Amino acid sequence: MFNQVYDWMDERLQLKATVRNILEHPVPDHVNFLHCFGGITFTLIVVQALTGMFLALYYVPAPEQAFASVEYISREVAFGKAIRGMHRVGASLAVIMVVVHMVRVYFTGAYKKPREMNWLIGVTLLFVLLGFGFTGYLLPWDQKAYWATAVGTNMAGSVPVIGDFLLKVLRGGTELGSLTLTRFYAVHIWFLPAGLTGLLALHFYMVRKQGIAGPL
Amino acid sequence: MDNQPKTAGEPVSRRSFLSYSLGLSGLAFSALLGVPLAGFALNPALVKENVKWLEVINIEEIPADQPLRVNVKFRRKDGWAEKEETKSIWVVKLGGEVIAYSALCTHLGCAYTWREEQKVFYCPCHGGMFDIQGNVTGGPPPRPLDRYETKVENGRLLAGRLMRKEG
Repeated sequence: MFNQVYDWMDERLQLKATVRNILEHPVPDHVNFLHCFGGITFTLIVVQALTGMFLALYYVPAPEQAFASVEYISREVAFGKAIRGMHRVGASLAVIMVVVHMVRVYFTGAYKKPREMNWLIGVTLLFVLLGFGFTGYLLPWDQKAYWATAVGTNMAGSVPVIGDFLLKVLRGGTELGSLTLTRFYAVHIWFLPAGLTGLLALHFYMVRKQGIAGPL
Repeated sequence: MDNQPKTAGEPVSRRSFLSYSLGLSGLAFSALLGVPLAGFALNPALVKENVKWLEVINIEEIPADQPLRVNVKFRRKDGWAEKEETKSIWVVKLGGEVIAYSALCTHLGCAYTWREEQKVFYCPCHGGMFDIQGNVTGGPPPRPLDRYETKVENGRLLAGRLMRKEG
């Protein structure tokens, strides 16, 4: 049954060649578990995307309701604590795995010519991930979230010349409030995911195009 | 990938063993993630709502053979919030019996009114009509008016679960 459907689709789309190209791509001999960290990060990102989508079913980005909706998720929705926990722990794990991945790339010299551009894209991805962490931290709207964001945005405010402007852009005004929450939420669920998707596509395309860097 | 079925006794190649193992772990991983996600998303449809008895009106205040619309205030849990809401219930005293009707037409859920001159409940949306016993006398409604389960405590009429009678 599956094979018949697969053959039918293959006849029209030449799927088998593509699948073989992706799944049966030869890997050089020197590749070992140290080359898994990027893939682990990607898996974590997929889990983040899924749990995030589902959390959005219940979360409300408004000061009067954000905390209550998060409490509702944790206390009353089935698996709520687990899903929220996955999203929260997964966020930390993703950043940790990115750093481990970077360390591997650094010490194997994989960033060198011709792979400099992919290193730069990787660094940008790190900042995108940190952006997810920074914006996501505010969303539960508890004391820790509020004050972490107060401190974080004040740091941006201390930048010479444009600091005041930056602070207002980040907070959506001088004060931390509704506008800060809605903008952090929008950035967290729309802007950053869009950037992340594009950058990841480029990152993977370049790996495939240039191949895995040679042995030490 | 080797899709040829293996006959018993034939050794499984390392390659297909690895593909099956990979597929199996992928499946386990998806289930580990998918089951909680599904439960999480479907939660509102799966939890049982507990129906509270609402105090409607003093039994003595209901006129005989004359429908009366009562606006009942009650608190409803709405997700993470709790709200005070008002719900209309039509009460009718017929002989000794007190009936509490849902204030929504059984066709598509519009609010209806009582037309004294014709002695019918009339729904303005699509012209549905019910007599004082709740039976359909005209228009598109598929079944009689829905009734609340009722009981009387200390002379007060209480309304509980909504019962649906197929017509």
